[in-house]
Amino acid sequence: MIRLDHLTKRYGATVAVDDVSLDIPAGAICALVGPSGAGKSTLLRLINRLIEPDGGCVQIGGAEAGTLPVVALRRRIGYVIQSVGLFPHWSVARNIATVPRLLGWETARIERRIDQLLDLVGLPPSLATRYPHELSGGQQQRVGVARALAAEPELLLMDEPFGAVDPVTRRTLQDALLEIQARTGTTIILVTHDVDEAVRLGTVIAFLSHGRLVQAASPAEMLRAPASAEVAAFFGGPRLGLRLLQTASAGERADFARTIAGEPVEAEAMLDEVVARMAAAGVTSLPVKDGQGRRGVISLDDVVAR
Amino acid sequence: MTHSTAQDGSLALPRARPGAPALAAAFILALCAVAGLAGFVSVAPNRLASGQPLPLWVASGPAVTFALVALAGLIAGLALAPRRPDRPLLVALASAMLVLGLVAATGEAATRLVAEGASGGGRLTRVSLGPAFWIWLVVALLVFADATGRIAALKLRFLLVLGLAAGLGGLAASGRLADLSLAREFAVNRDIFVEAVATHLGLTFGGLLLALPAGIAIGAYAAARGRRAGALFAGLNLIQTIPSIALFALLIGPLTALTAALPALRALGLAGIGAFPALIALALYALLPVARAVAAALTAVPPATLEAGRAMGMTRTQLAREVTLPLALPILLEMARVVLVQLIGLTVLAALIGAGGLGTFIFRGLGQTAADLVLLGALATIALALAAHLALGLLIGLARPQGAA
Repeated sequence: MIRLDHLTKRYGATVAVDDVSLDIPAGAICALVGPSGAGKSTLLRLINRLIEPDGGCVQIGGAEAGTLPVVALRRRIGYVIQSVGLFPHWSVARNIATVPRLLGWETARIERRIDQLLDLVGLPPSLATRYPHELSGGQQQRVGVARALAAEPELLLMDEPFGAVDPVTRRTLQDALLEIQARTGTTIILVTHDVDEAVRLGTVIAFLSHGRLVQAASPAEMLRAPASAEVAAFFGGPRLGLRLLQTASAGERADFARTIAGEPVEAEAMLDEVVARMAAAGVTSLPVKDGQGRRGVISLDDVVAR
Repeated sequence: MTHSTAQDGSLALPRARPGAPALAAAFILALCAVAGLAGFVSVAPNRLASGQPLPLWVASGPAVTFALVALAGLIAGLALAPRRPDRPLLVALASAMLVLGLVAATGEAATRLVAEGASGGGRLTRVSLGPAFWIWLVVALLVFADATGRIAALKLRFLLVLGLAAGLGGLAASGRLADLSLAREFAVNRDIFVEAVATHLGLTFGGLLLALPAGIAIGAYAAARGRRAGALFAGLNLIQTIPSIALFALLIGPLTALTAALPALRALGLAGIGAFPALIALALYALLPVARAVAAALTAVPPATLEAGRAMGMTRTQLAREVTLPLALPILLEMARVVLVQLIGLTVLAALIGAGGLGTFIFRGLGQTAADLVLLGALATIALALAAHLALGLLIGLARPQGAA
């Protein structure tokens, strides 16, 4: 578990992070959102001590981060930034091996780990010997994620990781991140200015404004019960209903007592995908199947129910 | 374009546009025609009398003339020939042969003319190099430099340059050039010459070494401060605007006063004239380019890369050694090359304030209207500058990170 305990950071007269307390359970994906200048990135950088707090502390797995040697602490925390920051003079493999090398792993272990990670982030092994400038933006970001995960960190910090890639690539990378997180169980804290990304990726969303934590809740709760007008304006608007569709899966709404004929949707599919399938097929109900092979049915009424 | 050719570590001219080979060929042929009419060597009865110019075919005879013109024609033909991958190599080899042939021809001509002079009773006959020789030589060297610059393989390039240098050295060592007035001047001044080269290099590298600590500190400060370092560079720019001869002279006054006030300095052999002010002037000139190089090299490292390194848990030393230095090194060496070549040239002026070096020959030659003495100093300076340029070019080629596009 990650505990932020009354964290405060001041720059002169401005308070960038103002008395923020937040518990993030192990294995969660916490999306930090809020307007520009809300202190999201500052908060993230306080966690791996790229900047030191003026008050409060960070606890990672029960240990206080401020008391650990800073270099050792950072090697336990993965970090991915928008501009990726790959080392341009090192091959992909050497980039991924950065932290394992710093930790003094044996060569054979590092090589095995590089193969595993390329597979994990969905890159072909042939890319290992390439240099960053030879890769596309999406590939570079995947290498960035692989490098951050190399030494199996308990915590992964991501600062607008998909902000600089095109929408299609962003969507692919988001899917890849969800799959990676499902496989590794790493706790992730992610800064984003993209509401849809926060709703799609976050298990918890923390809304910051002027350095203060305004609300921390699940995406569904954030959309349904915003704590302030500012939060409501940030998440709401004409797309509120569409975002709500991203917070529940077909399996949660389906009726497994009966089924109908047709090509079934997966139970894990989000409701927005179900609506898309309905609109494409011109129907108002669809068959559902889940991982255990159970079959059910979901109707448009189930989808829009609150 | 000049930027990337400089990075290649070559002597290359700016890379040619499509129509350029034909132009180059026409240029070569036109120059050969002009050079054919002018004096290839000039013969004088003694060091003081003015010489009589002899064109190539008179000085060297029809066979040598034909061979050299044929070689030049071959190069022009290659330049016009349809593009083939090994063309640069062939042109480089042919132009290197032309350079060696030209130099050998002057040597042969000198030996023959001196022998004729001796049989005619003139024991002081001097054979010096004429304008036609220089035009031929410069054109041949330019073609060579351009052609080697187009060869992709760094090793092959350096083999060619080393080969040409070794060829010229071999010609000189074989004694075939011994009757040229330049060679005689060298033979007479051999000991002083060797000492002058050593002094020259000592002054150049001494000035650079003196400039390095301050230059690195200023550059690092400027890189950290970003824009606010502007005033600092303005100050350094001011030093660069002082004419170099003036700076050498300006230092004499204060340094004489300083050494007069502090006998301890005098005891160390420091004085207002000589090596001391020369080193300080050279260091002052090197300061701006060194500081700029360090600032440019350090700011060239992407901030995101440094932040990533820090966030991965690199210590400050690891970050400097594994990230900043490898990324900054090619830029540093590039600038070192510029500074070094510039300083080698500036050091010539140090002779004016009694610091010695190759300038001694140039200024003595000017004083005595002995062109060969001037040439001896100038050619040696050019050779040193070229050697520094090439050596650092090789280092840059080796230091360039593979990943840098």
